[in-house]
Amino acid sequence: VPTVTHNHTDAECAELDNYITRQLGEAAAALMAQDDMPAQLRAMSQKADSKHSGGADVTRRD
Amino acid sequence: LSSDGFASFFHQRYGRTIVLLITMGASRAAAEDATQEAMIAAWQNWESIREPAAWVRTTAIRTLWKHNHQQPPTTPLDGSTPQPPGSEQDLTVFAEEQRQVLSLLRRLPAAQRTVAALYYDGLSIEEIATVTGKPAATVRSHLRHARRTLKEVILSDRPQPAAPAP
Repeated sequence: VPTVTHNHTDAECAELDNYITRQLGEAAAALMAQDDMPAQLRAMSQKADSKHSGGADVTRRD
Repeated sequence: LSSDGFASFFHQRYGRTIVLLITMGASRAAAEDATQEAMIAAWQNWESIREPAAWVRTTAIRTLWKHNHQQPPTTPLDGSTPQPPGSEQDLTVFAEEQRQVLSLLRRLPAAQRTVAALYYDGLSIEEIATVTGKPAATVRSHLRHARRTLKEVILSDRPQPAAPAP
């Protein structure tokens, strides 16, 4: 059984912070990977494309 | 900043901003609406925005609170701030590990939740103090309490590395 203390060392805080930051980043990536990109943003993409041909596409998937 | 810059920014911050608002207790639908409004406003004002991440974050939070008829982020927050967390259904899009982390964050007391959400979105203690209108010492205290709760659950649930051989 892992021992949990209430004394937060820098290393523990860093481990916790890194873990949570990574999970939230993956949650954001999961949202971006969905196929329900809002219509307003597609419109913005078209506007960007017309302004900079071959350029921005805000609906692009990485 | 060019339109190409906006596209890059959008891909960096759209999902993160939604996750920030969900972490703060918003429903997924409300978080998406507020983020979309903020992104469209950012696009419309792109050439004049110097710090787009901060601008969109602040605009999205204010939009969310306006829609919810709640306090703006510059109003001091305390533990009694009435902001009930969204339902667990908001989290079904995420993998199990991410759901657990988000669920834990959303169950924190309101002031701790707000501080933790902003901290894990990349803000410094001083920046959070500015956004929330709280002294930096109070922000540190909320973050310390939030970390204690999160640490007890998260670090104790995760597999521990094997002890090195003597």
